[in-house]
Amino acid sequence: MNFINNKDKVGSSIILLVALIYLNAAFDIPIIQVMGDEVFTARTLPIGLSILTIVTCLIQIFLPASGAADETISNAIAGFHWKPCLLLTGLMLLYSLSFKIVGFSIGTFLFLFIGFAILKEKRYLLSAAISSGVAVFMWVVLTQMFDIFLDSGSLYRLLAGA
Amino acid sequence: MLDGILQGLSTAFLPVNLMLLFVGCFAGTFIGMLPGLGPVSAIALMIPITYGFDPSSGLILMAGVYYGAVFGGSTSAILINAPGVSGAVATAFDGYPMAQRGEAGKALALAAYSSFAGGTIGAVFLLLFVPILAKLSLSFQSADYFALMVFGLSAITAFSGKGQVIKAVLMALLGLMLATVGEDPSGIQRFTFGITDLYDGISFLLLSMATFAIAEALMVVLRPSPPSKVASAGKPTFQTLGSMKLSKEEIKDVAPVVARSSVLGFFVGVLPGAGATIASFLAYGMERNLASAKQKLGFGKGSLRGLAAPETANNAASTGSFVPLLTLGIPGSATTAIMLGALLSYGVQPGPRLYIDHPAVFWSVIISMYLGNIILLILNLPLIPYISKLLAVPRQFLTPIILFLSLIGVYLVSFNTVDLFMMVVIGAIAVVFRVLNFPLAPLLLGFILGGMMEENLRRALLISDGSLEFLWQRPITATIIIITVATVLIPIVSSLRKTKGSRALDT
Repeated sequence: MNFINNKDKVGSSIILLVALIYLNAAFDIPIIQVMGDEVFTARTLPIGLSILTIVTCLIQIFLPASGAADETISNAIAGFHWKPCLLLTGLMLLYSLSFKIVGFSIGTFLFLFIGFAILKEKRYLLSAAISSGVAVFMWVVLTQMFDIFLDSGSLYRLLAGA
Repeated sequence: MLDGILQGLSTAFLPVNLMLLFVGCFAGTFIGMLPGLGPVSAIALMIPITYGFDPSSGLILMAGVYYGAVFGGSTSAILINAPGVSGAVATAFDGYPMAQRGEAGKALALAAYSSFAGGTIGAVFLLLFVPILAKLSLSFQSADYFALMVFGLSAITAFSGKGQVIKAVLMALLGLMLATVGEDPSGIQRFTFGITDLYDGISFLLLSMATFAIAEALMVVLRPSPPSKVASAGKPTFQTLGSMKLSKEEIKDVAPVVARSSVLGFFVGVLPGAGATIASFLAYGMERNLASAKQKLGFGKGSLRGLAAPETANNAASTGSFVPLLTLGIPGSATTAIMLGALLSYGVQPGPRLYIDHPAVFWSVIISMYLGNIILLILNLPLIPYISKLLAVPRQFLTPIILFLSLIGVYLVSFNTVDLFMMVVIGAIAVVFRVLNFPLAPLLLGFILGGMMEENLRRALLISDGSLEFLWQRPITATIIIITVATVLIPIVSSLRKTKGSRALDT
């Protein structure tokens, strides 16, 4: 069984790495010696948790792998549609980073329109209608019905001279 | 108790709460029908909406969504053989064959009646057991609570399925680690790395939306659809729904099945971590074993008993999972974990004091669960032909809208775009863990229980002057600890034995 092709081993190794970083950071937690706090400090649980996690990860890593085909990463990801998934993740990051610039309405319209296109929707007019419909509907509900302030974006303010 | 029930009744029957329950059941049915989205995602999507509500109304909406999503999952399982939730997998065994032979209407009606019966019997049990358990747990101390939380986490990992025990333990530990980010109970910053947005810790809503709503939606895009489902997704294979009526003989035949499965489902649901999926499979297995040789042949080919058993059990289990939440403040499933998080954010601490301090919340939730069953029956039976058309909404439109609703849901609570960024990153990490087949529910449970667990451990250690004796000093604590150790060790030992046995056979 190839170690780097085994789901359990790779997953446990990732968590082991996280636990080691966490343990290292746990030693940097400042301790304030308040009376009675010596028994249990801000470090106690994090250190205990990281040790437990490291031990559990090592058990999982050193346990013999069953060798079943469905435990291999190559089998698990066979046929996966990575491109649209990565593009949608990138689109979400872009939406969160540009939210203050383009504002709710334009940002939402663009997010949905591009999202539909990523998932291979070719009827662009229908996509535009649904995107604008959802953006306007949500804007009306949130701002007019629930009285929630939604940022119109610095771009809009610049263009509108507001 | 009677005062509390009356208070709960008046709260549950407020027009606004009845409307919320109605909306919740409808929205839940719709979301639950979408393959890939289950009750957890449905409730996570509702949390931002409920932040402005009072606790009773918020929980009533979520209870409606929960029931609706469980039923919605069964609808897609019956109509297109694509269970929207894992608890509905066993429903598809006999529900889909019924739909294929032109009895989709009857299958959906039987699912609705069975769900109603399971939910009703479950609600009666809840009414009987919750006050007793709540009174009993009033005598609990910090040490007992700490032991109970460890038990809750260990039970969840123990029920996590074949070969998943250690992975579930790791995910629960990861959740506990994430819970320590931010200010500790004594006011010291931990793992914030100077980032001010982390001072208050990671938001529970952000984590639940990222790990369930976003990760689920991305997994739907990522996974190739199985060939059989590609053909049927969005295009139900049945031509007509057919009659929705059940004959007297059919009702007589399934009545004992419903009664048995309700009791089994409820008690399985009470166990932390067991939940609707295990309950539905156990009920299906039990009925198959109890059936005559002739009836047994019908299982998997459209048996009414095979459909009624899992459908009843999963609804009764959904009700049962509220017992540990309402009495001990410990969630028994990912869904109730999200509800616990929501309750905490309303400023309501679930547990034995909930029964005394917030009787209106406590009783109105229990009463609303029963009302939810009635509404589901009234709403779903006549609307089934129309609701089933929702399955035809193209996925390329649905997925971006779900992602947008998840993002905006978190933004509307914090108004902080950094939260959106963090959510996407956590969602992407959650997808990696999903691909590696690491369960995410223990992560969420560990995260939610982390704060309470640390608080109780701290208190217990301070009382016992740093000694670990508190773990076996009180009989209640010692009993819970022994059960916990057994719960963890039994599946590990049995899986190690199996591995050893299979290796011995190989050589």
